[in-house]
Amino acid sequence: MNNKFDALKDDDSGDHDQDQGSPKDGEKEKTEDEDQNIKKKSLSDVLQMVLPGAGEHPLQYNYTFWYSRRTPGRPASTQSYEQNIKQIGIFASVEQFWRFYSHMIRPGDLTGHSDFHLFKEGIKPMWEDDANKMGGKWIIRLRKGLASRCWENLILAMLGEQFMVGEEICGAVVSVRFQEDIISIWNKTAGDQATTARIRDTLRRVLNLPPNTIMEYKTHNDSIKAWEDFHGLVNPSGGL
Amino acid sequence: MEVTLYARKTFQKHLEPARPLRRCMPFGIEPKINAAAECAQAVIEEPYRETTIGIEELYQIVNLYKQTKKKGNISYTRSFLIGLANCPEARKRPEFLPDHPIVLMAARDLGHLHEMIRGGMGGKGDV
Repeated sequence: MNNKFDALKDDDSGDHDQDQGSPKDGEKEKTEDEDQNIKKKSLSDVLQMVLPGAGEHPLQYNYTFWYSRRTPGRPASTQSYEQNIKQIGIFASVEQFWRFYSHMIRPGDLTGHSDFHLFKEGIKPMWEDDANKMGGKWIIRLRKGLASRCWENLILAMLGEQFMVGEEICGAVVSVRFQEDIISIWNKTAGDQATTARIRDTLRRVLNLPPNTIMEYKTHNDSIKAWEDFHGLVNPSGGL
Repeated sequence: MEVTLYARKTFQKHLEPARPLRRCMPFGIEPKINAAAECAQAVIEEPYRETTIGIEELYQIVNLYKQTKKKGNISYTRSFLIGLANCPEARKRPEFLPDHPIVLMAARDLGHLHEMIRGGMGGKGDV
């Protein structure tokens, strides 16, 4: 399968694992140059880190807000997702989260085929990301009018570490669609039933879902297969 | 040869700053013959060392922050998080926000969150 998110991966300025070029004049110069490169990289990494401000309430993890929207009239395709997903910002504290959240419209006010994604920093909202590739997601379908409130309850539980599943949570998505809205929470290990059960139970509690609410767990592998089978007919973004 | 020339040149240029290093030497120890060259070398190395320590210290601070986060689970209840939503720091516009239709110029009112706390989570049975 073609990796449809290569372009997005290339966009990530934080990924600089490749060796930097070094002069071939001699071993010593080469070593010194590599040392300098490591120092520059370290400094660059440190300077690019998002940290809580003085007196702010730190979060257990840094998170990134993403937004994506399928271009109206265009079929779902690899290019459309790559081109339409946009990083809004990264935050490290409760205060920083509210700064971003209060400067973005609520999901219930979105129009068209749109998604908000809130993922831990370093994890892209894509099935193919290393943190996601063995994982899956709990999906809850909502009737229109409930997305904003449920999304707020979901992300507050995630940011506040209410799921109590260690480092398993990857992120959350709210997908605004034509006749319904969908919220989902992604975790790293689809095969860990104790973890997925705990996430489901916490989800029921924090969203105050009635017992008969249908919750579906879908592995990302299944999502990828479904996308391959129905290419062009379903959304390839991983939002659903 | 290059190093010696460089050291001599720097020593002549920075004679004064080298003195405190000599004063730090314990009494009764014979000054080394090449002490002057060593002091000069110390002066040469000083700016580089300062820069390195600066980066390393910064790294240590960041690592300390990371370790603190790893040690304990930083958890917050929903009502605590909502309680911070209207504090002045939480209302500021982020320094970097993309120009995008979903991004607002000014912070929107989050009063509905406090109503959610007062009225409970609500929504039971209406999903």
